[in-house]
Amino acid sequence: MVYFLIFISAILVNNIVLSQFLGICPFLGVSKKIDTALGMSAAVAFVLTLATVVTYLLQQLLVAWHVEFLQTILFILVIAALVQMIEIMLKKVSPSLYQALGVFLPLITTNCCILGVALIVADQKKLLAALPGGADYGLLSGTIYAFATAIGFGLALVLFAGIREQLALAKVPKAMQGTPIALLTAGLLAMAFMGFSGVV
Amino acid sequence: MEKLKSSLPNMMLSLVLICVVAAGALAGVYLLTKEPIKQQQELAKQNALKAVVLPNADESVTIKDLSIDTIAITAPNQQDTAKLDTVRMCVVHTIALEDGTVIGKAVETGATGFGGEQEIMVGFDNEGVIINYQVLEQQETPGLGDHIRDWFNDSTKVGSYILGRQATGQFEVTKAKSENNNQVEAITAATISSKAFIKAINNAYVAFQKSNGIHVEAVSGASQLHPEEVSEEAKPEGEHHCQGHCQHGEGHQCQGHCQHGEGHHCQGHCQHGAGHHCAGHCQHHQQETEVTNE
Amino acid sequence: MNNALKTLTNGILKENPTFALVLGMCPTLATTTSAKNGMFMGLATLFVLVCSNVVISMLKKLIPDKVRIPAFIVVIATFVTIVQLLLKAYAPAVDAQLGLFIPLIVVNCIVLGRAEAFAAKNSVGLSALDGIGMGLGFTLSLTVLGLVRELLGSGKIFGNTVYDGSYATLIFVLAPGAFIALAYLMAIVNKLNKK
Repeated sequence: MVYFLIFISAILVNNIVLSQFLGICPFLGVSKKIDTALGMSAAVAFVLTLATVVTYLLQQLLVAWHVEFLQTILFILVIAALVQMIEIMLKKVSPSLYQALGVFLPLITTNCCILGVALIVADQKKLLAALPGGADYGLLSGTIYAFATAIGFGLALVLFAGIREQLALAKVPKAMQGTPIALLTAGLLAMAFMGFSGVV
Repeated sequence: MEKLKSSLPNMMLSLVLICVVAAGALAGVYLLTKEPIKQQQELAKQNALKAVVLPNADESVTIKDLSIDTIAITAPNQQDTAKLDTVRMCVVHTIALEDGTVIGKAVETGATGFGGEQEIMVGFDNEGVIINYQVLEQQETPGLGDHIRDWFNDSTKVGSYILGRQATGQFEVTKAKSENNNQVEAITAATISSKAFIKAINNAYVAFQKSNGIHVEAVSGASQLHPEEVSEEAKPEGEHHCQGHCQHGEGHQCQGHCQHGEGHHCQGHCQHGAGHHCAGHCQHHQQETEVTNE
Repeated sequence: MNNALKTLTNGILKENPTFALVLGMCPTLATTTSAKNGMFMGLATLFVLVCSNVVISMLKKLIPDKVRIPAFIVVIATFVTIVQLLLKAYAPAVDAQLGLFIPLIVVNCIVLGRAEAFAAKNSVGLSALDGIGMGLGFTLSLTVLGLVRELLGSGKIFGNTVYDGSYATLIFVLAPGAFIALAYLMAIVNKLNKK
């Protein structure tokens, strides 16, 4: 039951993009069309879940050896390595998706969403604050949280892409064209999601 | 000088060199900042305790944390929903001045609020009168529930002002005007957050009295768990059981599996942050049991 | 000398990371709940930018092309960790306010972007200036956004009350307000540029 609540909490109540501000760059950059948005979300979901597991285990090692200050360096290197791996895999398995994602794939490394979630899950205090009451700290909760967060990211991305596809056909004042109107839309979307607060 | 070619040995060498220098630089800065960081944490702790027990004292006054007791309270869920009773751990700090005079107790307590857990530190004097409180963490709605930080200690809000009130464990939140010591007016439009907050205060009082050896029933039904009940919880399959002096932060639920050496009695001093859930892997070393007399 | 001046002012106006390049959005939106937070975030990023630009420029001949990204990342991450440790030791209040976003400087597209686009190809001196310029531009835009949000959302400027907070539009210090405030600021900058 509590795992179901983690999903609701991470996807709706504390959506990673719309209320925690992680993952904004790809959110603004990749969301012009729904299919690229979907592809990006799938890639992020995979990297995020895998990276969280690896960094969680790595953190236990860091604490045991009293070298917590190496956390930032090691985490980002792990993420960079994972993204490389996925690039190679995708090239072999699905070259069309690889082409479609293009330059966005290596950009997943600099997606603050991934490092951000990895840091939250590795830090006990932060993870417990992020999980709904009753969940406890551990690899399982952390992994479920990461996966749910990725779904939340995908949801925000796809919703936004859908709106932007429509927006492309609307008449927008010159100064607002491009990023400003996108940001305004994101703000309205964030407001809508605020309605979920208190649900969990 | 030409740029290094991307041959395998060159690449490896370059990366390894950079990593080694980086790690060295970091280790250096870490060692340099270790002491200051520790001092800052100590200072923060002192300030947190002082803020609730001696709010008007100036910087030079230092206080001592004489003893720390963790009291387990069963409290029906704060939001009156169908959620199960929670065991809430309240941490009672006995505070004394430099010369040893006990001036009161600071209790770390908490409640399940509207948007998440509330963590509160409240200071009682020796008679149980509330001196001050501080909200350590909360996730209530900004502009509404998050007023728990500054509503109940605002002297202009007479019906809600709880500083200086004799705590009874029987405080109740009312939307109408407060008519007696036990009634506290809620934050406008934030009743759930207010109820949670007041229940945390009630829980704190129960813990405060228990640490004085007095058993109190709170209006929320909160009561001190009997020692046997505590160790029941922490004793899966005959492993180490928590003898109850663990000073884990608020919300800690010992799940057993602590890998203590033979005959180790958990004397607490675990320096886990609030909300720590012991999932095992506690790596207590010999020294930690000697950290008793700071 | 002209070149140096141009490099320095480039990041502040013409290629302002926030308004022109639209980079580094995450910390921009997240840490600008008040002008002070925005300013400190900008300054921390400035420190990392300058240091990493300088070091990478110094090492540019020693880093083979194929491993340049991981090498840059290690250098940047080192300086980010140094900032983290220094803040924890000497300014814990700032560290508490900025929280997660200090370590996230390492994935701030501005830092890696400038390392790749400028520091790897230019002299140490110019790279330092570029770092300062971009850092200042970033700090400026964050402080301005923070000012707007703080003023509209809580009636304060740098913590000093300007008007009664209960008349303020709370949404501006919350998530949606960040998006909306930035949207309009960008639109204003666009309009001014077109003139």
